[in-house]
Amino acid sequence: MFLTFLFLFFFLFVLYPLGHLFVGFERPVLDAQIWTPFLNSLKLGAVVGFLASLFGFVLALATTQKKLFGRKIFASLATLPLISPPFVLAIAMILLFGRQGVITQTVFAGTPLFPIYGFWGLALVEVLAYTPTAYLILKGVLEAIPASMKEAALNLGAGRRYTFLKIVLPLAKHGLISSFLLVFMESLADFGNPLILSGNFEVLAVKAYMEMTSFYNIHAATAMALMLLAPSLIAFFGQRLFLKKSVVVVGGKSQGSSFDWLGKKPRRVLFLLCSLYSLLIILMYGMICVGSVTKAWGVGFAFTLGNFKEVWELSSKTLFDSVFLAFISGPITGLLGMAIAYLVVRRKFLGRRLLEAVTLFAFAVPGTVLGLSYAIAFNKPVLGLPVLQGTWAIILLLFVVRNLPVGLQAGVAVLNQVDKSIEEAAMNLGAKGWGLFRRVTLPLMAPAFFTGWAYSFVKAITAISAVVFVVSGNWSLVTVDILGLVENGELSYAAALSLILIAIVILVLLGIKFFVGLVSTRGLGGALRGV
Amino acid sequence: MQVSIRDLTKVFQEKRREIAAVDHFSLEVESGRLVTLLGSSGCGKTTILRMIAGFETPTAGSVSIANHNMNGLPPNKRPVAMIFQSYALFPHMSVFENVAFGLRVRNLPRREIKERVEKILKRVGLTGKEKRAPNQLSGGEQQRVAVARALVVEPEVLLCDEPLSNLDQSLRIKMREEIKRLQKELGLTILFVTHDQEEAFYLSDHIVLIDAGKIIQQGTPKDFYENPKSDFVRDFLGGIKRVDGELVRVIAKT
Repeated sequence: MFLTFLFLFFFLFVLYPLGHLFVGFERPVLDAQIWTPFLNSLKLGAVVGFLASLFGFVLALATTQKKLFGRKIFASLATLPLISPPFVLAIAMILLFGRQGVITQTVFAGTPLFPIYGFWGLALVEVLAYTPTAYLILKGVLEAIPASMKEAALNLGAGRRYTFLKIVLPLAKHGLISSFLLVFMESLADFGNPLILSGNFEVLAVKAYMEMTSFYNIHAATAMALMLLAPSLIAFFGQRLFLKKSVVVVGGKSQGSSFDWLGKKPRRVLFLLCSLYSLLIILMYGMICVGSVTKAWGVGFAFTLGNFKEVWELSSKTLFDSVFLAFISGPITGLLGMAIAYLVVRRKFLGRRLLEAVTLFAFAVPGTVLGLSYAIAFNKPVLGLPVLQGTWAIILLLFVVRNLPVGLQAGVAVLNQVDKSIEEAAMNLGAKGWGLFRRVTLPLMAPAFFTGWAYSFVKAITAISAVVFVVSGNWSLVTVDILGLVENGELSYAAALSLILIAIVILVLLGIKFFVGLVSTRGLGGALRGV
Repeated sequence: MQVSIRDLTKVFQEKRREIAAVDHFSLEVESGRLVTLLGSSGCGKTTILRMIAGFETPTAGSVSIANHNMNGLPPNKRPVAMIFQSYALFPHMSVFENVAFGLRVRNLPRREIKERVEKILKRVGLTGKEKRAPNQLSGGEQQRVAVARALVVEPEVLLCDEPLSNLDQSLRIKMREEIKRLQKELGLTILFVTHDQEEAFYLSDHIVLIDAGKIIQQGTPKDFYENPKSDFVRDFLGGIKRVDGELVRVIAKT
């Protein structure tokens, strides 16, 4: 019964809308105007994937050194972009390096240091936005390498550099590839940053949106969405393949060790690099704070608190809508994720693998593609359901479908750690079916549930790429409002509204953490790694 | 003396409390002997081994090996090789590459590396498995790779950190016989850490019983049986019964 519901759910809200992309597809659309943005997207993804993985690796290496001064501060600053909409960094970029930017005006006398509207500005911002993803994956990978590996190498006479090159790097290799592919996917799917910064450098996600909303050219839009889907799917399945292959450690338990294998000099270099990176992050978010209390950015630089009042009047409704929808998407995602995890891990039934694959599939599909397909598919009644486009339901559905894979992975990770014999003991004592799940399995899985909840909330409230296609006059979201403000050049308002959004995210996360005491970035990292 | 340990001390800071894991520990080990550090978990025996290997810095005291002071030397400059409890085989390298690692580090000629690796693999009975990955080996075979990898660099001292504790009973007995045989054949100096008194008694020329970072008693296995110094020693050795009484009469003399 529940299974039928799940399969129906995925059919209706994943496969059915995506099918519309193929229906609308026409070959002649594949002309030159699509190849440039396609190649641009790939190039951007590759560069961002490489650099973010490099930065993430350095940060992960540093924060896993127990003797590194300030490693906890570095770790929290490195993950800060996770809890803000990615395009907040683009706003900060304009405030710093744009024509009216602080640094441009003060240091470079009005001439921008480099063209921020275009490839390099966009790449820099995306690198900062997606380094946290790489960092969390690689931190997990480095932590999985036992201390005894490095000790054995040194014990056999290898120097630190040799140990790093021949032991640590090869063992982290699959993690690095997997991180590259995941960031590559995120960059392909990114919508907010390129909308603000891409300038003449066209990318698929934005181009598809333009075709759809400005020119009502569904054929072109769907063709572009499909072009975006293909590399994304390849990267996703490649990433899963590589992550599965990573580090196989044999031979029993290994003790924790306080041995500092890296040495003083490399540690100083790491400290320096992390400090620079952290400074950049502080500068970026600091600029958002400064921008939010500056009257009409670019005109004069007068201090004001009026921006908050203004944006509150403009956007308090969408702000409440965002918080409301994101917040209730949390428990739905958490519960569904756990239920599917339970079915996939503990039950044997036909289509078990299929259920897992279909759930994860939604993660592989770029947000822009899914959003576009929703806009096309649910513009008319489906199976007796009323028209979904323009309602809160379609936004909520997108949130749930998009974040379910992470909820599932969090559940799977927990279930794999909970010994099956606990449930067998309960069965032995007479519990079965739903009662067993509710009384024994569910409490054990509570951490995964709250991780799923927190993750969904953060992802939903900062999301833009998918939902931008389905918002309407009645139901809009705060991220869409912020983007609108940026497009109108109202940078101070955009900064103020972003700051309010970040504050709400932090408050809600602290709230969940306070009530549960179970949600941690570690859980988030674990979930991210799993997907 | 092959190994000479003087007043070795290690103090850990734990929540503003100072805990001496190793407390003025002194020991002399002659070349070609197998000495066991015996004690329950947390007694400091592994910390001693890790200080000898250079993974922990002693708070006080000194270690010298083959008449060279080891203080301040990094782990990779010390003439010791260690067999880890978890074996710590490199999962991305074949059996051959694992064993060759220490020789490659020393930049030996290719041919010599091949000869020495093959020779030692033959000694531990792994000929024909050179190309396997560690996770394709059984527990006992992994253990042999760990032994070969440590021996091939011809260390002055072999350090063993409970190397047999991950094996099942019958394999454990077999492997300890092999370690004993290798030690005799090659004339190895071995410092062996274990919590298993039976293992210690079987293997050792000399046993050092440790508790709370201090030596409780040391001597040959025979010494321990014939003359356990205290009830703690008797309890730890288990098998020795204390019979209280008085010698009344000797019936016959041999």
